Amino acid sequence: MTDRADRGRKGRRIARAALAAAALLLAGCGTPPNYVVLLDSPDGRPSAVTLTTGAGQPAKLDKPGTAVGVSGPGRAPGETFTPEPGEIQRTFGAALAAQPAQPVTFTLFFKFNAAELTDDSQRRLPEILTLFRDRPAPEAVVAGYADAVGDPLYNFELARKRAEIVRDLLVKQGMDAQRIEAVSFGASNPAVPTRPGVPQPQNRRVEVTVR
Amino acid sequence: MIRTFLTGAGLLGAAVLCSPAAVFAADGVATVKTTQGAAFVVTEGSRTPAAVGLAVPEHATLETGAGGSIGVTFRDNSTISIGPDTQIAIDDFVFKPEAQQYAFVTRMAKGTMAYVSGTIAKISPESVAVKTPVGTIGVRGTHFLVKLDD
Repeated sequence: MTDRADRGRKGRRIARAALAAAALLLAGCGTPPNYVVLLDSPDGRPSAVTLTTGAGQPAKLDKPGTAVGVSGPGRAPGETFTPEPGEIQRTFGAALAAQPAQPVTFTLFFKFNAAELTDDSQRRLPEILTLFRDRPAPEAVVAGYADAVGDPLYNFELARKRAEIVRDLLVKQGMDAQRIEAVSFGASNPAVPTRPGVPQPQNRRVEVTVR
Repeated sequence: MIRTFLTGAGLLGAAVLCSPAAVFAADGVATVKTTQGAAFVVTEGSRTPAAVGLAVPEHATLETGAGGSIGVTFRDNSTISIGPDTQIAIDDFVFKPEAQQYAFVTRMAKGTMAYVSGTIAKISPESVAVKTPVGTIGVRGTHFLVKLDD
């Protein structure tokens, strides 16, 4: 290798470093043209988003308040950065102000081996009704669940019966039947995960979500 | 043979009973909850000004002009709200817990969006994606914002 070739390579390396520094300076002046910001999740659960582009490694955000951008189509995700709160408000203020109220979920339990709500759960019905009446264009989803005892078809049927019982109770309280949807999750999506065949009262439930 | 047939018929019957369509009638995949200014729900052949309570069908596009905004709540409790000069299409929305079938794919062309994921992202995160001209956002149960330049 000649000295001249070596110098040439060094020169290019320095030029590249200068370009990178310029890019960083520019980034300091403004946010990328396209970016994703992770916020705190409304229910406080940990959350994350990924950004996969046409180049480079996918980026992952798992710290609320952080963001990642991409300069254009076919480009790799940039470095993670933290936008100023003022910047978020300027850019996303209108979108954030238009956010619908978050859906609220009430969990109701049944008396053992019965098609009847526990007394505690029965007492929560008026609260559900009040929230429903406060919402614009309100809807409710009544989701029935079974525990992991019994075969899947039986559990879907059982969970659906539970959902329909609660839906009927809510309609009796004065909620519009057209705006209540009853669904059955069977033994899927348990509150407390168990092995198949394990009884778990916490999973024999109905979740009413008002949105 | 006969028994196989009967079992098959039984399962089919159960599947029909269990299909959500048999349980409830849903007029759309989402409902408009907030709106302001120039805001539209666009489907093939129609462009309806957004109004609170308007049902949003699958494959519709939410569209805003200058000063417009719109917020919708989906059947799986996800919410999407967009600011001015924004376009986002609902490419694919499947929420069938009884068949354990889920999909929630949106395609955002430009503008600003706030997104709070719902049940589909919780049960089946791999079924949720926000496609954009510069990349695809994967959702792992979350609240996030997206900005895309024109």
